[in-house]
Order: sequence, then structure tokens, then C-alpha cells
Amino acid sequence: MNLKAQRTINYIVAMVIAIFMVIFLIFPPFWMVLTSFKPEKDMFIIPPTWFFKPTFENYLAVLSRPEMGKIFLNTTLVSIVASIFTLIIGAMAAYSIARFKTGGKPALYSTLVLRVLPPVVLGLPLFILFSRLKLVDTLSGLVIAYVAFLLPNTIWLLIAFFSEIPFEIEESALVDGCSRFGTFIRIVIPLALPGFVVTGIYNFMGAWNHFFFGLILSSTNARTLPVEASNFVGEYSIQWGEVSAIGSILIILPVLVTFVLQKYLVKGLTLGAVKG
Amino acid sequence: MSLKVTLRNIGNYLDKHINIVLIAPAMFLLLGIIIFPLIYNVVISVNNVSLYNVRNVSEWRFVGFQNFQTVILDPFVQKSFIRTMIFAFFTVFLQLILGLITALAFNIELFGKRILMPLVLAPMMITPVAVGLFWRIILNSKWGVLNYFLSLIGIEPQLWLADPKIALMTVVIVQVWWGVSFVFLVILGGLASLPTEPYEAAYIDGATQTQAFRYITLPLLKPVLLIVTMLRIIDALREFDIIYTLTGGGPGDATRVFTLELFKTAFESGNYGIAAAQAIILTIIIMLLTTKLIDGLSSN
Repeated sequence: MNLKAQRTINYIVAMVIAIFMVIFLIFPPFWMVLTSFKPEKDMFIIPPTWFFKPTFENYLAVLSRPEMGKIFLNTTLVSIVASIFTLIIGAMAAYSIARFKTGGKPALYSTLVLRVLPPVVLGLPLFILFSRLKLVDTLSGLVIAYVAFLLPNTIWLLIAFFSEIPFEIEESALVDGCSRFGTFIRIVIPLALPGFVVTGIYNFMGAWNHFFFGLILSSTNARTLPVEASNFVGEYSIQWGEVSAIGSILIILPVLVTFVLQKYLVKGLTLGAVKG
Repeated sequence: MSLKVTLRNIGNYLDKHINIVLIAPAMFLLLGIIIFPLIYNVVISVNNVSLYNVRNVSEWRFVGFQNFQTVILDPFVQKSFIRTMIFAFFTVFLQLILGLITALAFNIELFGKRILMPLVLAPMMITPVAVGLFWRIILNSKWGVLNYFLSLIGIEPQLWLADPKIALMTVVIVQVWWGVSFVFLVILGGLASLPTEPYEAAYIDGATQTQAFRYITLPLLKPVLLIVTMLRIIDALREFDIIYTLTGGGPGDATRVFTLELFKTAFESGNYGIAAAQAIILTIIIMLLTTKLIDGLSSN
């Protein structure tokens, strides 16, 4: 077989695989979004309807549930506060580890160990501590728990970003009489800004998507969106229209972020995953 | 004047030790909200802590390793452990195969790649709870669209999430759906960094594509494959959200993996001491795997 024929066959096979995978990966969320606009009568019929008169009644039903505004606010607030706080503290620590090798390899590796700790493991002692400190079902309690799972990952990602900044730039600032702290603020942080954006978004998404701590550490006052969404299928008679609507609301933000910031996220994810 | 000098001296001193100053806040935070709770977990695991005495520390009684013994001898825990192994094996295996195939396909300059890429990557950013929700809509045995599609090719409708015989495999498929994007991304990155010279030499010597893949691509890709495999095994052991939303561990206990068993012991039965022992066992397993992962990272 000649080279050109081989190339054509490769291309066709690759295209078929790519299209098959895209359908496999995109169809499930697409079908949920489609379902969320279906009127009740079109929802449960076989064969399923592809074309119908779209309705917003499912979304109205979800948004008019009691406390929905508060749940949105809780989730947004906790995610923003936890991710910004983590970013500041984490950036300082990551710079120290990346530039001055503070703590050496043990610091690097314990960061990785803490990063892979399952939420269930941390959840139990936090729950018991929080119930003794009266922090269960408070927003501050949730922020503390969120910081606990975001911080190791933040340090890990930012070490990779800081390591990419050439030391010579900092050295010349130091020679020119800039203090070490001044160098960090004026030279390093502006250079690492793309890394900050990636890590910040990644943290915010992690907090927005996070379920477990909300499940065990909040009940009414500090309830978050993923916990509320999971309650929709825990009810005695499940309202599938509302389930599809709240699911669609939940994925709007992650999907938008994936499309708009694709390049940066890819960089952040791969850096965090494979760089040692 | 002297105050100014003192302040400047303090400033200089702090600047000299900037490495400690910068790392200190994170150290204290990690000690306070991760390390301390983990140690506290050990304390709970050797005491008879339950729903009834949790708020009253004076009633806690030291029981030694009794909780650990209970956990290890419990047939439900043993079964959930085996289930976790099956879940981890199949999810990781399928993610690797699918991820590798997709990465090989995307390694070619495909038409419309820029649009296809974010579509392939989207699942990994999607909220796990939402993943559970839309798969429940698709897998519904009465009006779910999957059973409809299968009926078109003559396959009987299945109770995907309600039949104890297939529920675990259904959960595996959903987990693969969610996890394959990440594996794909890492392998694609690995493929992009492969050198071109060995291929040129091999093709001049008359090697076939299959041979080039078997004897050049796979060996060169091995470090990346090992790391992503380790990461995914750890992730499979950590998994909770998707299974909880899909089945809650049911039907019966057909999909109750170790994390769900732990959740049930702690937050449904209120046996905190026993749950803490389970948590410590899980922590040890994950730490051992992470040490292996670190070996892989540092040999790279």
C-alpha cells in the first residue's frame, strides 16, 4: 500500500473515532438541556420527541422554589471567598517552594499527598470538630472546608507556573537594589499572572462543582447548589422536568468556562497533572 | 527616628527570611485544617464515638484497635472493598483505552479540530452531581433514551440502575464518560512531545504503522501512561459524587463502594469511631499509591 493511500485511510479512521467520541461525550448533557425545555406531555413518550414547542415552565418551577436565591448566593459567595483566599496564601507558599526550595522534596511531596486525600476522609473529623465549634451549617465553616481541599492543589499548580519564570529576571531586580519581597510583588506576580488566572478559575470551578463538604457540613442555612440539585432526585416522586432544569443551570458555568478559556485550562490541567 | 530604624531592621530581617515568611501562612492553615483533623481522626478511631456521645467528650471511651477489627471483619466492608477494586479496574482500563484511541485520532490534523477539542474536553469540567442527574434521565428504564436507541437495534430494555447484576457496570460507564477527557488530554500532550526522528528512521527501514506504534510510540509514551494510570486509580478510590447521585449505593448494596460505605457508617448510622477507622484504612491505601506515583514522577 502506498503512503498516500495509507494517509487517507488514517485520516478517515481518525475522523470517525473523533466524531463518535464527540457524540458519546456531548449527547448526555445535550439531551438533559433539550429535556429541560420540554413540556410535561412530551417528556415521557417513546419514541422521544426531538421537536416540540419549548417551554420555560421547568426553569420557572426551579427558580420559584423557596430559598433558591439564597442557595445561589451561598454557592457564589463561598466559591469566590475560598478561591481568592486560597490563591493569595497558596501563591506565597508556592513561590517559596519553587524559588527557595523551602522544605525541599518533603514539602513538594506532602503537597501532593494532601492534594489526593479523599473528601470523605477529611469530612468526618471536620464534621465532628465543626459540630463542637458550632460551625456546622455556616458559610464560614464551608469556606474553611473548601480552603482545605483547594489549597494543596493551588500550591501544586502555582509551583509549576513559578518554576517557568527565569531566575535571571529576578536577579537583575535584586542587583538593582529591589528587596526580595519587592521583587516578588513587582516582578514575579505580574509575570505569573496567566498562572494566577488559570489557578483562580480552576479553584472557582472546583468550589462551584464541589459536593461532599456541602452535603455533610450544611443543611438549611448554608446549602449549596450541587447539594440542592442532588435533593431533586432524593424526593419521593421525582419531578424530572425540574431535575433537567437544575442540572442545566448547574452546568452553564463549567461549559462556558471550558469554551472561553479552553487553552488556559488545558495548560493548567496538564501542568498540575504531569509536572514533577 | 529609632522606631524607624527598628522597623527597617525588622523589615530587612523579614526580607532576608522571605522563604519562611511566605510559606508560614499556608503551613499554619494546612496544619490547622488538614493535618490536625487527620490526627483527630486517629483519636476518633480508637474511641467508641457515636451519634449518642459525639458532643460529650467525657463519655468517649478508649477501645484500642477494636474499631479497626470490626471494620476488617465486617462482610459488608469486605464486599464494598471488592466492589471498589472492580470499579477502579474497569474505569481505569476503559479510560486508558478510549483516551489513547481518541488521542491518536486527534494527533492528526483533523478538519474542525478547533471546534471538536472543547467538545471532547467539556465533560471533565462538568459538575459531577449534574453528571449523575443527566445520566439518570438517559438511563431511565421506562422512558430513557438509551433503551429506546437499543430497541431500534433489537436489544431488550434494561434496568440500568435498578438491576443489581448490571448496576455496577452502568456506574463504571458513567464514570468513564466523565473521566476519559482528562486521560485523553494528558496522552495527547505526551504524543505531541514525542520526537519525529525514530519514526522517520523506522519507515525508511520499511516498518509498518502497527510496528511503529508497538515499538516506538508505546515505549516512549510509557512514563505518561504510568502517571495517568496512577492518578486515575487514586481518583477511582476517591470517587463519591457521581455514584451517590446515580444510585446512592443501590440497588441494595450493588454499587456501594468503599467511600459510600464510609459515608453510610458515619452519616446514616452515626458510628463515627468505626467510620474513622475506615477513613484511616482508605488514607493509608491512597498514601501508598501516591508514593508509587511520586516514584513515577521523579524518575521522569
